[in-house]
Amino acid sequence: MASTAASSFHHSASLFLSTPKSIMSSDDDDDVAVEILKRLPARSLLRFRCVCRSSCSTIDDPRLVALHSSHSALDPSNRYLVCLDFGDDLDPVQNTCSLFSNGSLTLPFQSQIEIPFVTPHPNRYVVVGSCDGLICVSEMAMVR
Amino acid sequence: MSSSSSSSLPPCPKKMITLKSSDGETFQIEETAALQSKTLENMIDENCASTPIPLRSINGKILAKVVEFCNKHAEVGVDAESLHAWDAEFVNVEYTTLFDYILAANFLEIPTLLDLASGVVGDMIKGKTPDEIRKMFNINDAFSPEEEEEVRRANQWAFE
Repeated sequence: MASTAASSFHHSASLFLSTPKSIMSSDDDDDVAVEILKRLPARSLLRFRCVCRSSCSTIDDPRLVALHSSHSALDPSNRYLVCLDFGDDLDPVQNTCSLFSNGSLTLPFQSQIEIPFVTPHPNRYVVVGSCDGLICVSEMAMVR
Repeated sequence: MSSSSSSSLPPCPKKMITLKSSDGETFQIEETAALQSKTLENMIDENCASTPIPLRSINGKILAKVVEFCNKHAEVGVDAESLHAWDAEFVNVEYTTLFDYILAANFLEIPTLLDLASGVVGDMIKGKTPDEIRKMFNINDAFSPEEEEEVRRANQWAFE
């Protein structure tokens, strides 16, 4: 039974290493943590950055970021469509752009945000594209 | 014609391979079930599976469950719904055991088990606050309150 108790203690902190690495088998713990973390929503990950120092460095590690991004891309529910509505009721125009280059364009519109700068004329903007979740919106040149 | 004699032949014996856990227990598994593990598949392909395969990082208790999982997922004629129910029951265990499943699935490269166990742990923790996570995993190298506030401020939206 001693070995069972030791193994549960070993795992009690293994999601984020909280004891000196020399005591624990850090490779195994890292493997478990990475497998769990790469499947979590970004919001949870950002919250867990402040759990402890090791959680912060694990989550900030570019290798985890890359794994998380490629894993998220497998799940169709993580594909978003950016849609800029302009025109008017009689002549609605939509400018769309998928956040994944191979993403499905059939998903329903999920949430609405305002472009965070002054937009007296919404039809002056166009979605150029996106990369790693960053969306590029450009102001169109006005033809007089 | 020899059709009647061929149908009376005994079925082709199932090819079995033997796995040996870190604590010396041995387990027999059909080759078709073992093929769900990329690691074992490679060993079978390279003819390294004729003697017991030592798995030094997996104890007998966990290896028994992994073999059970592979056998279930190799069964033919199981409908998706009942397999889903079986899976749910399989991972209805302490999270420390789930960690062992994840380690074993990672080592043996069994994607279905890795997805299942990691997904369940993820569901257990994804809605929790940093404080709840610290309690759950007995974590004691937390930031100072000032440092934590700074890390928190960097992604305030995730806490709203």
